[in-house]
Amino acid sequence: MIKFFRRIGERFYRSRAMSVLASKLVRFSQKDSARELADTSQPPPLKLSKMVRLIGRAIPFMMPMMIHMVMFVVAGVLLTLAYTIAGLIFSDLWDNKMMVNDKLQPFQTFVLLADNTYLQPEFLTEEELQEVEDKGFGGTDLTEAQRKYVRNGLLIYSFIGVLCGLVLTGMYTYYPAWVWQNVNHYLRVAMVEKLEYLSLSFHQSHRSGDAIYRIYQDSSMIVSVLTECVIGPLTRIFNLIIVMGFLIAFDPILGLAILFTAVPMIVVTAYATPTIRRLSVKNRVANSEFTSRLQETFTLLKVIKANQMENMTLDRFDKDSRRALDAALYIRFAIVGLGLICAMVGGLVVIGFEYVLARWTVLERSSNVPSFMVWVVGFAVWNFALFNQAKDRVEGLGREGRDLVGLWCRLQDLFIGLERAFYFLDLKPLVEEPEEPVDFPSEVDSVSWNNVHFGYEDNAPVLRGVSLEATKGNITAIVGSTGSGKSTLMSLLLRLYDPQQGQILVNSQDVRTFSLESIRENTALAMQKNILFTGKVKENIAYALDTKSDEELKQAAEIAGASEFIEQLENGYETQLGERGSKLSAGQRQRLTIARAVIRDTPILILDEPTASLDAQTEHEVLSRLADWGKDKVVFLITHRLSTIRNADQIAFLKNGQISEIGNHDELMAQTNGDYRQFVEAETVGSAATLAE
Amino acid sequence: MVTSRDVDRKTDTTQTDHSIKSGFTSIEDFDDQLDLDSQMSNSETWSVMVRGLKLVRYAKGLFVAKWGMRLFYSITLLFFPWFFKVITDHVLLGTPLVVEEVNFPPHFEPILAVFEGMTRMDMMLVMTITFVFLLVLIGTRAEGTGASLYQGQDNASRAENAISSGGSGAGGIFGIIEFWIDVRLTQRIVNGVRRHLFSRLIRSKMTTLDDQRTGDRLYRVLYDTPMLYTCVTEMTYAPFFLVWGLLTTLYNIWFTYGHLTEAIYMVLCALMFPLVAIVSLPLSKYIRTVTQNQRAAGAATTNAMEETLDNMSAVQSLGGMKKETEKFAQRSAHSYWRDRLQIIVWVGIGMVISVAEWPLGFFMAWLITNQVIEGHMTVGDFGALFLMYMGLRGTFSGIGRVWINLQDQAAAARRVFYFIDYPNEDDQQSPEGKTVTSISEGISIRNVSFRYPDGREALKDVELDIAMNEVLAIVGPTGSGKTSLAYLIPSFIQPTEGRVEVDGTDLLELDMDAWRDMTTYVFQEHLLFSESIRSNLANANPDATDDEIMDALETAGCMEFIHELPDGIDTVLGKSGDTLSVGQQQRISIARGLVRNSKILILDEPTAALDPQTENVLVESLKRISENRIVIVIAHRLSTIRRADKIAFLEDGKIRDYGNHDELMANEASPYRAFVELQST
Repeated sequence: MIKFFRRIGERFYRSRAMSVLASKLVRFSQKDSARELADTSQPPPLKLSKMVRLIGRAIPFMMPMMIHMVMFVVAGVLLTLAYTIAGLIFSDLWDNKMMVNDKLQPFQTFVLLADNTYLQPEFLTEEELQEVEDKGFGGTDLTEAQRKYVRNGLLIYSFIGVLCGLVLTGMYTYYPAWVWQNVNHYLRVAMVEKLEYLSLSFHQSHRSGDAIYRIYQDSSMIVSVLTECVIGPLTRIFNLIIVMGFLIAFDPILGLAILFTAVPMIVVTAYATPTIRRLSVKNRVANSEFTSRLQETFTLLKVIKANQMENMTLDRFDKDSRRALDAALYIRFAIVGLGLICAMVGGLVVIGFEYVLARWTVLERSSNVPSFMVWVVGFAVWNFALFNQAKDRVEGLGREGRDLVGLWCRLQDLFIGLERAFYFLDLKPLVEEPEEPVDFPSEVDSVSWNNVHFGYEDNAPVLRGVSLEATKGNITAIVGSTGSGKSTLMSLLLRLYDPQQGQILVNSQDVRTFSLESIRENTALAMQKNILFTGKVKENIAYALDTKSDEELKQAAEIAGASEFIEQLENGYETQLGERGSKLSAGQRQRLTIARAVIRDTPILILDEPTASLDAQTEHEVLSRLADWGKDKVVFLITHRLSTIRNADQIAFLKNGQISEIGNHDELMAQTNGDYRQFVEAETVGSAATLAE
Repeated sequence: MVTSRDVDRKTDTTQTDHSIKSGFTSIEDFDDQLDLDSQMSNSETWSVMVRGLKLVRYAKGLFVAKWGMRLFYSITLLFFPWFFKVITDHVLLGTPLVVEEVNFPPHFEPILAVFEGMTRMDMMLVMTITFVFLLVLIGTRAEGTGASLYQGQDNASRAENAISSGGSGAGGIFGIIEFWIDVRLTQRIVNGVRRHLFSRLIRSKMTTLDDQRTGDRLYRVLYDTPMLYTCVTEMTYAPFFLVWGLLTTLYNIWFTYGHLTEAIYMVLCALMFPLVAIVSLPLSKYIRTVTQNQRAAGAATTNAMEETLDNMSAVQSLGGMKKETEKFAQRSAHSYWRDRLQIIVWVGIGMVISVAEWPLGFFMAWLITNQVIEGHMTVGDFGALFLMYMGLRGTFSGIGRVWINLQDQAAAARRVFYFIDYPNEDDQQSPEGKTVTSISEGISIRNVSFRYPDGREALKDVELDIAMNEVLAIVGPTGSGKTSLAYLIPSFIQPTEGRVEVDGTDLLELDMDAWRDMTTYVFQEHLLFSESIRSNLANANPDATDDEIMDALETAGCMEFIHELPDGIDTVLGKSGDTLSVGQQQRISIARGLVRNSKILILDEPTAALDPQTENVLVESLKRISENRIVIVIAHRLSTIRRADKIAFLEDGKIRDYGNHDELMANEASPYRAFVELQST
């Protein structure tokens, strides 16, 4: 059906060569921009099943609020109905009765508490008629006093209506806001939660700004799912049918003639839809790129300053901002353009029928209003009121048609947004939780790598069959040149990634059988990058832990050699660190990350370049305390520093993705051409020579 | 078909949770360090608005064009009600049309003259043809033009529509042109102020960077600025068109119903203005407070999200996933609650105003219908007059609402202007800064002390001379002020006391940009752009040739791993360079420093994450390039330090020792010697 219309539309388009603007839009929407269109490059074809699927996907997030939704939808329908009926009666009373002094319908006298002197004669029995005439209220017209009475009644009713309306409007603003904010909140939280568990390889290739855009802008589309995808079209179509019914009741030819005007609207819309979808994708991508760029710029301000990149950054801002703004304009322009065509069609219908209706009124042509309606409203022939009613309906019809087209266009954008939001939720994490996790052992006796192969990308292996065992109470130092895979080895233990081949075992139990939480709860890691979080010193040390006592905090800081400088800070452990801990020197940050590892008091401790930013004395102190403290733990140490390595119980030298040598310092130094020996010699080339003097 | 996968919602936080609803004005949870005030006085509001108004400078032409178009369209609207009066009275109800006997305003009389003497249906025909014509041109009878897309219930998702939806009261060809102009007008104004804010933020002082949150910066640039456009419209178009509407309505009434004593009652409408103003004025400060807090809460949500996303490796390896989700959930719920607080305040104000407005409406309806019932007016008169009443009432109430309507915008605008005004490096630039293009002698640090704004003392009475062609190593225990000392040289920080001179000229007298051009600083944290390795280097020096880039990479020891990367030098790095190991990142950031080829090169712990071989190569090449340059290295590693020409040993912000390695080691009492000996044990 839609294909058919589209074909007609295309022919229509080609034959008339519509306008330069339209083709410009199409060209813009198809312009290729490889990188930015990563996952949703080609807007998926118009498929009803896909829309239904997306709505279905949104339902779980609406479920908790379902009862409220049903409540306000039902209340809304009832209220609209009540207000419509009231409005109809009101307009008849106001225009025909009060203004033009016709007598009332029976129901109307009931509502206004008027006696039968107000009633139209045809509704009276002979006797009553006589009685009314006796009172001096004969004929078909109301008297002046009666008209004022009707007017006063109407004013009182509308006053009540307005008051109720105010209260209801207030409630109707707050209540749905609450409901929809909740729904959006659930989706947002689910998205963030999903992101937290997606593997690091995903995060490395996915820009934070894009995630922010998806969490804010794309997810917000869910608030319109119920009202615009379901209720919107249904009520509009329902309205259309009702209005058509009315018009057909007034006059069948009128109604049928109007039906035909829908054809051009549908044709044009079917043709324009793919373009609108493309423009919508463009818009969302351009804006999320803009967000990404800003986010990245703001985290790299220091580098920009040091390298004098301000002007370049500003140029990029201009470019990205312009692209985002253009894209936002073009999608809207396409919608407005389509709306314009529909408005023309609708407007012509309204104006044309107005002429016809005016003619009928002038001729006092009899209407087709069914006889039972005469009890409620007096529209037997085309008169002023019926003209107003019919004109309003035709105008309404034009509006509904145009709105329906507008709704359709916006829905395209909505679905594109929803799809982008659910993209995260539908991703399968590379590191999967086991179905039935095994409890993490309370005592860890050994940690071993068993022929582990791993590469971040398939064609670039980092580890090629690493086997290594570390036991409780021993310090294992991992040594190797930069980029040899030392940190990678440790991240496999934490299951930040999973190996492509081989196993990592804790007490001969594969780590993939434990839950992610439990592995990370039982492993403490002091990272090379010294990442701190904005917040207090205290919160950073006890990160992700439930309350820890001040004693424990102090003790951990003591071991890490951090207590001294912390106590010198203005507010001690309560001091607010700047953005990402930026107020501390690198050495201080490093000690805090060590304290963070220590306080976790886990059976496995990994120190990744723990002392790179420490001076020799501090390093010495920290390491000896750590060695003491870690006596019954499995400790891994990644470092370049000879003084640190020397004390390890076991040294593993990593080269070309394999452990090339393993043993203690003396053993390895005994190998004349050994890798480790060469490494040590390079380190001491400078200092040894000096000391010899 | 619908399966709710269990991963969808593990963290159960709802907004019914009482803990998220902190007080009306409390600002505890917003984790702002700089902008803490949520109260605005009326005078502050006024000055913010006037500044907002001045933003019109970004789009003067469009502003005038839009104004003209709106005015033109509103003039066409003066005619339409009268066409409908003709239709009602003279076509439908068949009252004969005699120009002298009917009430039409003077501007419609020429048109009326055309109709005089026509039959009812001929009149209708003429009007129908006119309508069709006008429909195409200005969209008469087709309602306005506008294209806002769906949005959410929070500021972030409302921002795009605020900037780009635009609109026109007209339709047709005219309407679509006005729509385009309107969107472009809004976009230019918002983009102008956005760009201004952005350009100020990227020139923030080194010391303010610590206190600004990335999420908050994002929020202000992306979601606060869109509100500023309304400052312009609400203060120009709105009052103008309100008054214009008032004048046209009065004109209509005067020329048509001036003879009716009841028209005088229209003056009652004027009551609307003081009524609405008095009712709403005391409430304005609540709106400002509520809006400020709502936006601060939104920024706090962004902070939480941005921080966790950007540090995912730390979060995951420390097992903070659940905690971070909960933190985000709590903040998100809190910001939604703040948003609803705003709704409550607005609904309340709307109700108060409506209650004040409506009784007058009923009184007018009563008066006018009396006239109709008693036969002094036609039914058509009623319609026209009542419409006029509605118009007048709207106008006066609109004028009364101008101030209150601006409060939301003022609150957002304040947040934008706050950081535009926040002192940054541009303010430190001396207006006639000298430009140096070469250094002949060197840099001297004279008697310098430095304190951070929060009172931490970093340097005390430092005296140091750094000569050309020299490699200086700054050595000392952690936290001794090494980085602060190095920061002085590119003017990242300015001494609180004393001066830093280059060839005898105080740095403060130099043009800062030109001076920075001569310096390069390689930070301890290796911050890379997620772009290709090549463009990471090229961005730092756009003039660098390919050979220079390759040279720099070679010197920094990058080539060995770059060869193994899939796309070599064009490999696109992951988020903040995370696809490389820390040591590799460090080498690239050193290469980036080298490629700038500047007179002064400062390296902060360049070798910390390097293996000894790489370190040796690097240090050798640093010596090599120090020809006609100054190289400053902050280091702990003896192997790096000992090859420096001069060593400055720093402790507690003071220079304790100065000289070359051999000299210092020869001195028994040297603190440096003690430091070295400890290192080698």
